[in-house]
Amino acid sequence: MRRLMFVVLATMVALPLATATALETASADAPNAVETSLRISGASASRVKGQLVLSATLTGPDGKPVNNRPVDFYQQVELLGTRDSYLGTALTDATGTASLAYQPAQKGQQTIKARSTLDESSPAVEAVSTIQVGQVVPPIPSEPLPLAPAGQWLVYAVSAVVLGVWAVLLAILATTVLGVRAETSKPGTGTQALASAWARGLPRMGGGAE
Amino acid sequence: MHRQQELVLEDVREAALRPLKPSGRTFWLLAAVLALLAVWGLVAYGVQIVGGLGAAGYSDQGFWGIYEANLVAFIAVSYGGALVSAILRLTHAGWRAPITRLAEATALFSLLVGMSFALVHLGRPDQVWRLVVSPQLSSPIVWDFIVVVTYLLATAIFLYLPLVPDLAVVRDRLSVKGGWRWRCYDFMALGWRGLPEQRRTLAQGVKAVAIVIIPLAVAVHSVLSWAFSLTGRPGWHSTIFAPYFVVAALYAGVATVILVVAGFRKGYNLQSHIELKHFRYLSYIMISLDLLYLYFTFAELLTEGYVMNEETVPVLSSLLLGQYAPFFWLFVLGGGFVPLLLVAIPRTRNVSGIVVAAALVVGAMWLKRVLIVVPVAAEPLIAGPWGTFHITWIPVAITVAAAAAIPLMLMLFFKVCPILSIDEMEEVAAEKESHNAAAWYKASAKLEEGSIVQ
Repeated sequence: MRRLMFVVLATMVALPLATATALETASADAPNAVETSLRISGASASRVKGQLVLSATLTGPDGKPVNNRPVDFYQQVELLGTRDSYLGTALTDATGTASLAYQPAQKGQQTIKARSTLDESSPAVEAVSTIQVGQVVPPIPSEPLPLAPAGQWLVYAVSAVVLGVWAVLLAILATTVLGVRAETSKPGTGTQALASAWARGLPRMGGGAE
Repeated sequence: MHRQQELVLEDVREAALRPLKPSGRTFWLLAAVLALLAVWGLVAYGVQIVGGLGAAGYSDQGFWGIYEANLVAFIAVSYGGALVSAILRLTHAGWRAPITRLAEATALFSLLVGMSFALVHLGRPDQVWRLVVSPQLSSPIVWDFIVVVTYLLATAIFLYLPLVPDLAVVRDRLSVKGGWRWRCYDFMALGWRGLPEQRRTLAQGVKAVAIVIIPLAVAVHSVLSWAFSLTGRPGWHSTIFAPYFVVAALYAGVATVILVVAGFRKGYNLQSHIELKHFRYLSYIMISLDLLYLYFTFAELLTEGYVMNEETVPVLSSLLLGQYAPFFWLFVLGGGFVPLLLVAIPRTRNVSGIVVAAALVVGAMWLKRVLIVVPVAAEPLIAGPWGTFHITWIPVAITVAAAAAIPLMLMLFFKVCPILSIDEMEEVAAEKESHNAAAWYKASAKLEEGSIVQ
């Protein structure tokens, strides 16, 4: 176990759509720093089919690249505390490099982690790098959805219905309030009220006070 | 005849204005207890704002919990009160008169309480402002907000307009002419004098609101259901959720009206005006909705269970056989079959039996809302463990406070407004009187005819 020493080199690359530049070249210690050493190499930019590509190179204790090992990539996020959001896994190639296509959803500085093991029994090692995202690829596909125009019209129609309901409700309230008040201000209402109440055979309240 | 009628109506007025008179120690003691519970809830909300939703037991694996269930449950209560009153008004059901005021007031106050859960559920209260200034119109949450606010306006108008003649009664009987109370009541009563034109205008207004409020109430609960069914999560993504929620709201709403009517009937000795028949009629409506809700539940479970989609199976099995099964079957028994039996058996079809049935329905329907929300939210859509929602003292305090706030607001409301709809009761009495007179006239005419034939 102690002999297992390898290096994860994470290379962050920038693209026309997602302009990412590695701000710093940092070295990070693995959880068991005595057994392994880690460092992140200087970033280099490359373009792969319009997407940002995260790369990490895994090197064994002998300094040779390790082939066919999974490397997990994470983004550090703030969601109910600081935590690692899993981005995906890629296998290392003959040069020890694992590459993962990544579409950042947010602009700004992001912390990316690459984590791997030399084999199932060895402890995990981790490399951390910070990237600066200048542009983001829209998370929603740019091609229009089949029912998008219908949805848009639905929003307009429902909005019109809501406005109509508000108008009807306020009209009912205003008509009733003004109608009742208008009758009150007519002359001779007191006697009329009594007359109408008694005409119905009911000594109704609210009308017999005057 | 007039003298006897006058005595009956005087009794109605006295009963309706009873809560407005100085209250005894029991009233204030009860109000204080309810107010303390409400304050406890406010304190809990303060703690939640400081500590975040995590302090209320939420996590990113259990992201919807009791607050969402409460939001649906309390707004449902409101829905039942408004709809029962509107339908009974439009169908001219004569027996409605003593219970409409209680139903309409319950509708308004439970809606206010229900709406407040949107704020509690959001966690950060400033999110509400963002909902106003930058709404995402393709989100059902925005439409929830719009439709509930619209419904609040309708409910307030629906409570206020029938209250106008009764406020005039308070103005004329309990306040000194020219005093500040008199002026307040006169302003609120719109200077009501009981003129035929005023009655006609008011009746048209009340009828129009009653017509508008029915589809509006249906819309409110449909949109609430779409907050679930438009997510695509297994267990929520269902085409029958809108009518399912509407029926659930009516069912729980009618049950709550029964409880409120029973409570205030007992508290203010209104037994001579709110009789066994009122409870029986309400219980018949409740039981019809019970059967309809059981049918919807069966249809939903059968459709999902028969197809056995891979994503749906974990939710269904946890609900029917797994960790949530005891609660689900408790709902089926306590919220479905026992109330049915209590109303169906003649011996238990009395006020106590119906109140027990209604209490079971209210409790079980709240539990059902929790069962709709929590298991589905907790199911992992990608590999991983099930989420858990830990019930801490905070959601308990807030839920209890909400339940206490409704009777408290009703008690305070009836300190200033008549508890019975005096004008409607007078109108129903007049209609009854004229029917009796017509029947008496017909019968005597027939008798006369018979005696002539003989």
